[in-house]
Amino acid sequence: MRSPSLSLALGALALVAACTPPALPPAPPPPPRPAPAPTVTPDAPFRGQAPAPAPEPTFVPPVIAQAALSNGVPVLLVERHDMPVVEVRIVVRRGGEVGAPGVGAFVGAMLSQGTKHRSALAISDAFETIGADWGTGASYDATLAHAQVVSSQLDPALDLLADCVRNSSFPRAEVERERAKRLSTLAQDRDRPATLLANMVGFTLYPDGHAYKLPLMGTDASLRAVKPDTLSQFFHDHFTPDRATIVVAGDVTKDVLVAKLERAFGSWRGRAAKVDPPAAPPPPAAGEPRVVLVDRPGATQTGVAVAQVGVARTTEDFYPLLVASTILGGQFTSRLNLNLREKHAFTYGASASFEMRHGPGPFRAGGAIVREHTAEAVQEIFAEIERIAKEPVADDELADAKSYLVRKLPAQFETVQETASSVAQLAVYGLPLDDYATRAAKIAAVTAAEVQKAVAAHLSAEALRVVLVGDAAAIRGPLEALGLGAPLEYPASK
Amino acid sequence: MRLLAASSSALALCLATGALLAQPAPAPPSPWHTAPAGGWAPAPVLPPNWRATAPASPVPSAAPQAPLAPAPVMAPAPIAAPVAAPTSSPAITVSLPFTTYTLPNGLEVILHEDHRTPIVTVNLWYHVGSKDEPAGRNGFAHLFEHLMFQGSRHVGEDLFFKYLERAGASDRNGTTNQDRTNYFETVPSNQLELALWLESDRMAFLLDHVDQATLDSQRDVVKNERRQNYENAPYGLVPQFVHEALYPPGHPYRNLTIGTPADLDAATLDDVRAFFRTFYVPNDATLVVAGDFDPGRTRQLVEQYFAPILRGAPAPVKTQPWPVSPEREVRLKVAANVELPRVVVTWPSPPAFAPGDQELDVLAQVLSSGKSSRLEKRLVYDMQIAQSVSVSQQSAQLGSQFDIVVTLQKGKSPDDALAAIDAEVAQLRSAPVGEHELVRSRAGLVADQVFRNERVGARAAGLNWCRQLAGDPACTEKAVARYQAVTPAELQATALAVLAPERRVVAIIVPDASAPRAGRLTEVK
Repeated sequence: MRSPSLSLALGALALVAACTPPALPPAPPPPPRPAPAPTVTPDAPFRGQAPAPAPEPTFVPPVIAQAALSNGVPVLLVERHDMPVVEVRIVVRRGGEVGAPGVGAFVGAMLSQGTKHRSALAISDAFETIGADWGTGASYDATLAHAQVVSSQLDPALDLLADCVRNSSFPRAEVERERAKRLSTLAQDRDRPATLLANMVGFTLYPDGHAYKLPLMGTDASLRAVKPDTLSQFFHDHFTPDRATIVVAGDVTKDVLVAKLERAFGSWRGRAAKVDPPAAPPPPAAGEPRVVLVDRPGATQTGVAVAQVGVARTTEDFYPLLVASTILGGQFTSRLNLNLREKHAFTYGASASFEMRHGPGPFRAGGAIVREHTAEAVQEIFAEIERIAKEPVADDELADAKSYLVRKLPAQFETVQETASSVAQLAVYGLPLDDYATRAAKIAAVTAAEVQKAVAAHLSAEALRVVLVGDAAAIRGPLEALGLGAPLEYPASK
Repeated sequence: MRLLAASSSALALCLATGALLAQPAPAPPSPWHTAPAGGWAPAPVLPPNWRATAPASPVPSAAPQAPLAPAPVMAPAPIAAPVAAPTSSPAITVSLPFTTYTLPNGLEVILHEDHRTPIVTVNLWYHVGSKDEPAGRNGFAHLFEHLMFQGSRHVGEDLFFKYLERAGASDRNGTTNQDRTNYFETVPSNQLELALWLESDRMAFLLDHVDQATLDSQRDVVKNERRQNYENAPYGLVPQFVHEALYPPGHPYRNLTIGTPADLDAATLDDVRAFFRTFYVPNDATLVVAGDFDPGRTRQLVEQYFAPILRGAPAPVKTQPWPVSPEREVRLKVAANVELPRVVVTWPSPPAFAPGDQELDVLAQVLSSGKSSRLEKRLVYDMQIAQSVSVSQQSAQLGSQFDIVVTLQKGKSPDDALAAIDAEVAQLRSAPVGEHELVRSRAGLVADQVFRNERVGARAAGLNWCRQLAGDPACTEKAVARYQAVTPAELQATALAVLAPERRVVAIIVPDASAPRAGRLTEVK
């Protein structure tokens, strides 16, 4: 920015020099005429094709050091000293999948709202005062307390985290505050088309009583039924050293960390109650409605999910399905996005994914589709699923998807939080510690035949359900014309 | 100067709206449900795109690029200083070393080396945003951004993302807001040249590719984006009502970046050509390369790909503060088909990096960082009428907004919430904040600067943000130092100067099943 004014100044000096009285030397030959300035940016041969990449960098997977506290709690540490930050995650390998609907998530939220030693306000204030990025919560598969801090604040962070996961006391007044808030969140969720759609997918795919049928948050009735004892019993049954793993990434050495953890967690005692993770539900019975529609009068877009019960994280088809869902709907250049967004302009974005949990979570494909083209989009989604199940993917498409997945691996470990989160997944799903180290080779080995076989094994046109949130009066007719049967309709307020 | 969730890119939005657009299975974080307390909870309190910022283009999923990262930070080895007692904020100094130079055609270049991870980010800002759109073309800057992804002379239709994804790009997108349009890609470090080739081809030769079909198609995609994030979203149009009350006709921030359907429909191919020639010139852009690269080789590549691109006339972009001075409070009533009432209070506030800007960041923390902060404690914890409280200084180039957004629990009274807001703001004006509150607020702001800049993409975005809004890529160090130096008396003075009850806009959103979900303005007083 400064350079233009500098060169101007030099130009002025040169001008002054040129004005000094001439000594009349013999006339010099005229300078060569400068070429006329181009009026358009000139093209050049090097622009004609994409440049070749430099030699590929080697992916160095995170080195995971293991330790165990005296009470058996496993510790997984990825040391990194390139920035003065550290992330600590205490993970318990059960979440919303056990207990009554909504209880696991409720417990997750309550972990930071009162212990034997600190009030809810004091916990929040203490975390904020050390500048922590922190939280407690649950997924279907696990419950978590975590904090990221600058490394000089590791001690107070560990002290607070240990208090949360060991001494939560579920004070009655805090439980009531949280209950009111969660009931309000459920109300709020009814305003959010994407949440409404996600909830309806679970409700449609899973039978009564299955852990994945109802939202992680629970329902109005299930939340009202929760008693403080329900929460403390869950806490007692699952927050035990034999069900926990402590994952740390960042600026701390192993010896120092283990000593600190021993002080904070070493005297933790207890045994977990045995509970199996959710089983695969039976396939849907013949004659069940294939199209489910939540009415949202006036909506100019329809939330569309073509869905089926998918697979557990431990499926043997993990890598073929990872590649398949990347090609079908896992990147910008996926078949679904190119079809529904780029070719047809029906949507701002379309995608597909398997949500893999301890048990088989849902497979979903879809997007937010402009109301007028809802039925056509459903048809296109079915066609894309059928195509990837019936035809082998092309060689270059397979190679591109695999390159994408392999080459972006290093970036998945850029931050300590991402690193700790990825390592915690290994603990939650019981995967080997070399999982990330062997991932590139496993992705590279996937063949087109395996992709096709895995899709055909886990998705079928007969089992797929169409779940929609949209303006029933406008989309009902075109949907019926698809030949999937009359939609089962729910009113907007459901 | 802190932007929080303000400029959501398409990516951030996808994360906010659920798992449909999430990556296939092993993508990092599970869908945790968390206590909304800790600043960790993913549930955004601000409506997505609250503020004149349009999520940009595409990419249905993936990790969010630090949105429009606030001021950034971090040297490869920043120094976290003394181990502080838990009651004092950690004293941290940060540095983000860079070199900068300008090509003869006016393109500014900023290089920041960071070899922690074998990836590199190219982050290119054109200093044009929706504030610079011609009349009758609201939404055009963002629509134009979409066209930039469709191909250029040597990059075929739909191939832009193909090249990047097969190369292993972990992040790739563009976003538009009121002030600027940015384009970025994070790729493995051996693919830097690919990113420079792609960016230079569209800077030089976009018009060889764009045609009526591309324009029509992307116009429809943008309208779908508008439906998804505004028309069909709860409270989605409230930001537009607030802007119209706050900014007089003709003010560059009056319209939302996403635009109106009528203006989008009016856009022509001639508009595209004129906009490109006027604003997409190298002398209106800043290129940041950050990450794992060799500086000598990178200078050569930048020279090769960008130096031949012709300089244009100086771009007529607005850069000077454009203050608004409401003479009285404007009160809006909005009916919306939503479950929960909401109160939005907005003050016009000083531009990014002007005196008061960072003081307002601190005041926002005093009001809303954690359960023990003033407004959250009062409304959520003690009165138990609010579901969530969000307070932020939304820094921008011509002038900022200080926003308080309170979403109430079902059936609770917005008037009670407003009375509590008034009382807490009056308290900020009448007495200095306490020492502990200041320590806590500062700790969050400083730590946030450190954590955010673990990502090389955020460092690149931060350098560009500093360059455009502070006029100096090195603003981060100053920002952190300012947070650490600010005094209670300065905070009080800022509250007195900015947070006056008579110069603000208050919007009360009440549930009404007969109204649109996004909201209908029913009264202006």
